[in-house]
Amino acid sequence: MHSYIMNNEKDYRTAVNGQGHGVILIKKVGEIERAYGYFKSIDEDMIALSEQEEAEVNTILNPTF
Amino acid sequence: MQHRDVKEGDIHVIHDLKFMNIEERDAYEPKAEDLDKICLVVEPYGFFALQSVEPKKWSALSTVTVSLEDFEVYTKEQINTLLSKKIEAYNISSSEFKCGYTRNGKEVFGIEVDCGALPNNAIKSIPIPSYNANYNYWVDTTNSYSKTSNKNSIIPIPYVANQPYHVGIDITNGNIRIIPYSDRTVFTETKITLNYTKE
Repeated sequence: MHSYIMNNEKDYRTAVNGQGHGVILIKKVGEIERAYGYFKSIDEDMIALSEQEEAEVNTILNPTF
Repeated sequence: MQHRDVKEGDIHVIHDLKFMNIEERDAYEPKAEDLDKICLVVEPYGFFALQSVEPKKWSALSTVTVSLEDFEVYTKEQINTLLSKKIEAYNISSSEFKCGYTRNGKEVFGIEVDCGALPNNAIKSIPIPSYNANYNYWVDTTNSYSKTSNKNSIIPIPYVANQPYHVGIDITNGNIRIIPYSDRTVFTETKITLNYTKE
């Protein structure tokens, strides 16, 4: 899983399978919106997530109610 | 009925005696027929009735005594400042505001969270500002909305519609989660209002 800071509200990068966008989560903190997901290409502004960071993202995506 | 001290054709005034000050009044030696008469004291201005001749006792006609020390006196500027602070306390904003009511005996507060644009079929997560796990939070759905940049379309959040256009919301682990089922990025301004009571 990778993440990048969105340049604007339309900045969705292509999904790893080339179909649609690969963003599965956006975290907004202040003015910064960081997108997380699985993407077709790894752009220069993308960073790879550690296992712990991926686990945190998955906790937000699939919380235990 | 004829007034005892007013002859026919005379003009009756409310007071029978007039003194320039309290000392002058107290120096006056009333007669028995002065009982119950009223005097005017010019400075400080006031009316008194002769309640008793022996001992001499004047009683103020008013039974209400007002002292400035009983009041807190504010200038017009101070009152305007206090009123503006009260208005600000109830103003829906990004800082904590008061809702003006209680829930289970606890005062209800609110905060408006700027959530930016709605996402494109992805979950958007926004941490609750100054989150406190001991507070009791809920979404103020009547004060939560999203609008397009041209402001032509405004929807409440949550938005209940056909599923592709549905926009869900919840609070999970100190985060607001906004959950659409299609591209809703045309809605660029989203304000979510939360309510909470404290410990």
